[in-house]
Amino acid sequence: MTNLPSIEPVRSEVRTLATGRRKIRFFRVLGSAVFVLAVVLAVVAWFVTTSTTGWLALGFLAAGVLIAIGGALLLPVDHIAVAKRYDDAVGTKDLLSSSLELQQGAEAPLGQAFVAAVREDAAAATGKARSRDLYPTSTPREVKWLPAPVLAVLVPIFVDWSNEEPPPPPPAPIVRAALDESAAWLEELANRAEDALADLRLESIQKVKNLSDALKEKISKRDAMAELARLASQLDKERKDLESRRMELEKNAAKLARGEDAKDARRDMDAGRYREAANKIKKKLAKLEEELAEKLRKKAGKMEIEKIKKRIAKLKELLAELEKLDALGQELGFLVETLEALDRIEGQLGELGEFDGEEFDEAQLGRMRRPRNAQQQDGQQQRRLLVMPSSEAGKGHSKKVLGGAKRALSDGDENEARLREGKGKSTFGQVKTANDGSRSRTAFQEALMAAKRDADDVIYRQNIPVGYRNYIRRYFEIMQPDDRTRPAGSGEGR
Amino acid sequence: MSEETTEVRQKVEQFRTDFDKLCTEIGKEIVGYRDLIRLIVTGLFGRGHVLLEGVPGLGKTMTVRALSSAIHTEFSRIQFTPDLMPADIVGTTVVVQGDDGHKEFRFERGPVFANVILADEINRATPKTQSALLEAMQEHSVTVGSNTHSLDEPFFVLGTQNPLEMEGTYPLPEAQLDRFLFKVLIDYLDEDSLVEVIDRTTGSNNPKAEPVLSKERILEMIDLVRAVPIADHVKRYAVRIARATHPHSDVAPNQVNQFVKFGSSPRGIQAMIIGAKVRALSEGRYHVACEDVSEMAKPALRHRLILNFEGEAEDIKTDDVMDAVLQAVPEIKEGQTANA
Repeated sequence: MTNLPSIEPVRSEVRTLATGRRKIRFFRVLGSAVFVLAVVLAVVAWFVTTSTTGWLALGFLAAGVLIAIGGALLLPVDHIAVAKRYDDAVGTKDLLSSSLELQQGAEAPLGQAFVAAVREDAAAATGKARSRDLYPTSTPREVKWLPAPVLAVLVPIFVDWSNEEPPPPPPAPIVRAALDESAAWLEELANRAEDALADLRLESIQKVKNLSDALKEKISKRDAMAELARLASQLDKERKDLESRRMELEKNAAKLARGEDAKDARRDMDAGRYREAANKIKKKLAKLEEELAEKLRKKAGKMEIEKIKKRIAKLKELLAELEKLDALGQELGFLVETLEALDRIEGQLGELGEFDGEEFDEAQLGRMRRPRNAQQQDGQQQRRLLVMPSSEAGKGHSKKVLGGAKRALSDGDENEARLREGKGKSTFGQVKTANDGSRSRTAFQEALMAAKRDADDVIYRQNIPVGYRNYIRRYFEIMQPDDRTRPAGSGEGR
Repeated sequence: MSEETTEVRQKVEQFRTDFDKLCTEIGKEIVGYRDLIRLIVTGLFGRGHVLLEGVPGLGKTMTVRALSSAIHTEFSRIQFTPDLMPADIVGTTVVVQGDDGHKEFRFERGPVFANVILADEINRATPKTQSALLEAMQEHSVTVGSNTHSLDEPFFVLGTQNPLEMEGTYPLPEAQLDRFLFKVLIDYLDEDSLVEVIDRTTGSNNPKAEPVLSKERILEMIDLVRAVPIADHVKRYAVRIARATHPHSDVAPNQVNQFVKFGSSPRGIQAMIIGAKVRALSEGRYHVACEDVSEMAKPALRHRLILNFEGEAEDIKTDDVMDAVLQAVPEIKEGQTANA
């Protein structure tokens, strides 16, 4: 029996080649996987943001590496195939591959001798080629085409970048000054309210202070307008909540005030003077308590005493409601004042340049476009307006377009009243009503308050472009008469 | 190089030398046809039989004669004609009278009782006569009556066919074509070779082949061929080639599916393997390579494919089908071999 020589030199050579094969396979699979994933990413990039694209690219790259590792490590490498490849490359005509397969145990002794000769020749034929000689290391076709999907991925990123809005310009000095003044005024308002409303919830005051702090930061006019609008929305919601609470309290107080004891306070209650009403109720309470004490000293009838006690309890309940109403009224007052202030600030800021949207900057109903240097010259005057907004209630309508208040507009005037400077068009109309000279059936103040409330609702709903709000607000302020023209008996009202 | 392998190396080297010597000797008489000669000699050492097909005048008969001259063996030529009888091939029993007047039956051997048989124009004899020879080719024996007579080894039949003049012939049925190890097509020679043929055959210089191998040596070489080992992946390659000749197999190319009715039998795989072993030894190798198998595929399989009607109508050649098969079948299928 022929002793077969060891096959180990051939096995070792093939193992080395197989390892090289795995490495080459890793890079080829990686290239192909990255190409395919890049094509997928090129499609997906059109539907996601740039940052998401970046994360996806990293994820896909990691996935490609994992796939390549799996392909290189997990897929078995056929050693016979590797040996055959070596044979084909070197020209040994299946010598190594045959030596790996031809085993001991051939039938005839001569057969074993053949196997031995094959093994000897195979061992001598090793070391003539390396992995890169056997397997193509040239760049795969997919990798050569890789720049195409990569560029395709960059296209939506570039489109996204080029469509990005430019950063807002730094606020003009006049705007900065306006914002600083607004911040100072809001802070003053908040401090004043804090002193007066010490017992009330301080949330709204804190929000005003926060806005004041925000306006002091390096904020653009656009962002300031957004902050103002946001706070106005929040405070208006609180105002509505308080309004509905007040209505409930008023109903309850009205029920409690039906008796004789509250007769004196009823008028004050109807007029909204809850503090005065509460004081009157306190006086009444004091009297009743004296009366009760007297009755107890005199040992009056039980029923009588009980009656007085009930009256006292009812009045105490009413007093509590009135005190709540008073406090609520103060809080509401603060909110309304704040909302008005915010609206004025917003309107004044809207008149300044540097606003987003040319149509708003340029569209001044009835006014010509002002040159920039003219705007800067008006800055001083505008700053004064901001500092004392509550004393500058309305500027009146522009006579140039609307003409005298009593004159109906002609067709020519209507056309003239269209926006001159802005890009958009807008129309306006006039409502003509009959005036029969009869007395109004609705109290002036009542109608005024209703109109004001409606106007406030309209404005605070923010369906109106910010630049227009001030004008609309002024329009309703025009309707509000001063003390000299107020009709007699209209009463004070908020 | 160890002592154990020295002997086998010497034997293989001797085989290669003798193989080349025989081919060279035959080449003295036959101009060109180097591949033809090598195939015929491969068939001899593969212990098979070879069918030669070519138009008349290409030297088929002369090649066989040259082979027979180059080896120390008995040679006989059988010219197949339509009136040839089986007894004309295998022999017959005749009544002979001895000197003493005693009559007895004696078997007179036919021409088949030789080592190298030239069965010329085998397709001209009747099927009955053809089968007599084909049985001898398969069994290496002849049965006459109740007696079986073994044929002397080596027994090598070279049949010839003329692809022209198919009228009045009896084409060998496929089952009998299968008996031939190889079918070799003889084509026209090139110009230079033809010039040399003219010089040799019309001039005074006619080299003759001399015997260079004895019968015993041929038998030794035949035994050595059988000892050559073949690796598993090479065997599987041969099997895949044969399977690819069957229509609708998983490895069959489109041309096979379209034009082939029946593919090769397992004898085709045997023929490829045997031929590959001889080829390996003739090149001095101790193992069979896939290249040996692919070189032997056409001679071994071209006569074992049966074309369908479409193939016949399209005048498709089995060689074209074999080209498609060799192109479609990979030498190694990754993952299907057992890692060593």
